[in-house]
Amino acid sequence: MTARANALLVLALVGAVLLALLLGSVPLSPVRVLSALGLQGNPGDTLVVWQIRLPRALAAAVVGAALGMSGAALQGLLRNPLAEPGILGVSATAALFATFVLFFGLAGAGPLVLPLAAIAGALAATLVVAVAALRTRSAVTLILVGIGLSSFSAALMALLMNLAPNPFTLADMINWTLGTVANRSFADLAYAAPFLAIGGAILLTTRRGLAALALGEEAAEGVGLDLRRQRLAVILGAGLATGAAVSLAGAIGFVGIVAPHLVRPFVGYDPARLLAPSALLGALVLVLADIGVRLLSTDSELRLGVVAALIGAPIFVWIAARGRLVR
Amino acid sequence: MSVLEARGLAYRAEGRPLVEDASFRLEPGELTMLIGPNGSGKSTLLRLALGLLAPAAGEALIDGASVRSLSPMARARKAAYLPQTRPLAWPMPVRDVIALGRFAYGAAPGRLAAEDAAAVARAIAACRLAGFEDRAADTLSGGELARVHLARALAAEAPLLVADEPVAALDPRYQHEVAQLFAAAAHEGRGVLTVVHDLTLAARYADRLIWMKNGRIVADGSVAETMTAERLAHVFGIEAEIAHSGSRMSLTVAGPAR
Repeated sequence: MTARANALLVLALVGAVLLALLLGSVPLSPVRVLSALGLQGNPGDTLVVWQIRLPRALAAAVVGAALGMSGAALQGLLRNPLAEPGILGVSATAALFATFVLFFGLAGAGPLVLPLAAIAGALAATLVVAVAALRTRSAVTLILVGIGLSSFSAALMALLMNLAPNPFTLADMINWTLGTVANRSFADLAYAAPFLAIGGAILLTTRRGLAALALGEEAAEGVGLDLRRQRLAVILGAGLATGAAVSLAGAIGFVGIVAPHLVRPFVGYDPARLLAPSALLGALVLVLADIGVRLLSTDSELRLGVVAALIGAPIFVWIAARGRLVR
Repeated sequence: MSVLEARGLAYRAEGRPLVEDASFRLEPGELTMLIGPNGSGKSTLLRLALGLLAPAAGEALIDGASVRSLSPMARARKAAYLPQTRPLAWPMPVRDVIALGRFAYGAAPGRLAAEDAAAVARAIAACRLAGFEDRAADTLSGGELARVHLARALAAEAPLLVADEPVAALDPRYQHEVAQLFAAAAHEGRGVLTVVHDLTLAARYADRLIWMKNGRIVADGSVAETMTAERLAHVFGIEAEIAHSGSRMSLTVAGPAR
């Protein structure tokens, strides 16, 4: 059942990425896309496919995958169906550092300054929550620390916006927080890749422990789980993956919370087998949403984060209303 | 060698002693019940004995090894633990919940080696859960769920089984069923230690009783030796009558002691 669900999701994801290559302001035929992919088409097609559409689709996919997997792991760790990648304060702190860079006009210093600042923010927040995890026995404390961190980062961000030197800086800040994968290049993907890979790998090693936590923390310790190590690993993994996702695309909500809920019934509600399909579904959803963003012709381009929230929030309410979300 | 040995265990929380100088030995093949009023330190003593809490003084040995020196996995292979609160986070199928009992052997739901699958099957049979394997845990009654949790603990096939109030909130039939499962587990050669609140149940099934009051062990012995009207008045503050008829013993509680 799980294997079949994963296989279907992989097929759908590959199909969605191919679709993203075909569709756009200049529709390309499948033949032209394939020859461009093989670097044998006309130079214009090759440029569109390799420089614009493929990196953009891949960025949407890895961001969705990172958020989906982090959400699934955090819901398992905190045994809370409302947990999402932002709950540790990682997203908000990454956004704060990015805003800081924009405020002082440092983003012009190089193409990677902004994403690297976001990564640094994510790592700082991850560190704070990890220290809290070492010092407390209670998962609720972790949630509270995360909420506190989020609120503080949001307050500082509001302060920076409040003091923005000119309307353009303010617009940059707001745009960044809306979330988008427009104009992402393979260079952007390359700097984020190690963080995504390490974060994802760490999360995958925590799978068995997440299943044990379904029994409750005390019983999980009873069956042989090292609770402290489990918490640190999930926080580090989710922090790295989410931080990389935020640095690549800004804030994109609801994918991390909705994707795990949608696949949970198909893996027998097992938190361990949930990680891979949550990542795949998160990737699929964002690739499709980004195609939608590109196809809708509006005067100013729609932001992926806005569209994801517009679709994600009603789905979330629908899942919650069906009653199986919280038991 | 004793399956479990506590030597002078003590624990304090915010300066207040919760357990003081608690020593006992648990032998295989015995169903030992830990009884005492609310707040007498029973649950804390169980956690100390399993090494889940660090004692302020004393040590606990499982199979001759100090529990605090064992890794969580090594400890779990020696001792199965059924805590008092057993909240399942997700409505997993019964088979997967029981499979988690094999965690310490490297197994996970849906990924069971032949040995693990056999242990799970034996636990399902012992707790009479055949036919329930694919049911979601949130569709079970309280009694069925209690048997699922017990099966999870039995699936570890550890030489020691420790349970905290496994029959709380069950109706009388299930209480007796679960108590019989514990007795059977003990008589197969395990050491079994369980906290029980129902004194008639304790009198009926325990091979041995450990009595606790205000964090101290005040008596330790067979039911016949330790269950007296004076002790019930002293430990629980109740006025009770004990009658013997053959090998059976019956307990009638008249009310709070004056």
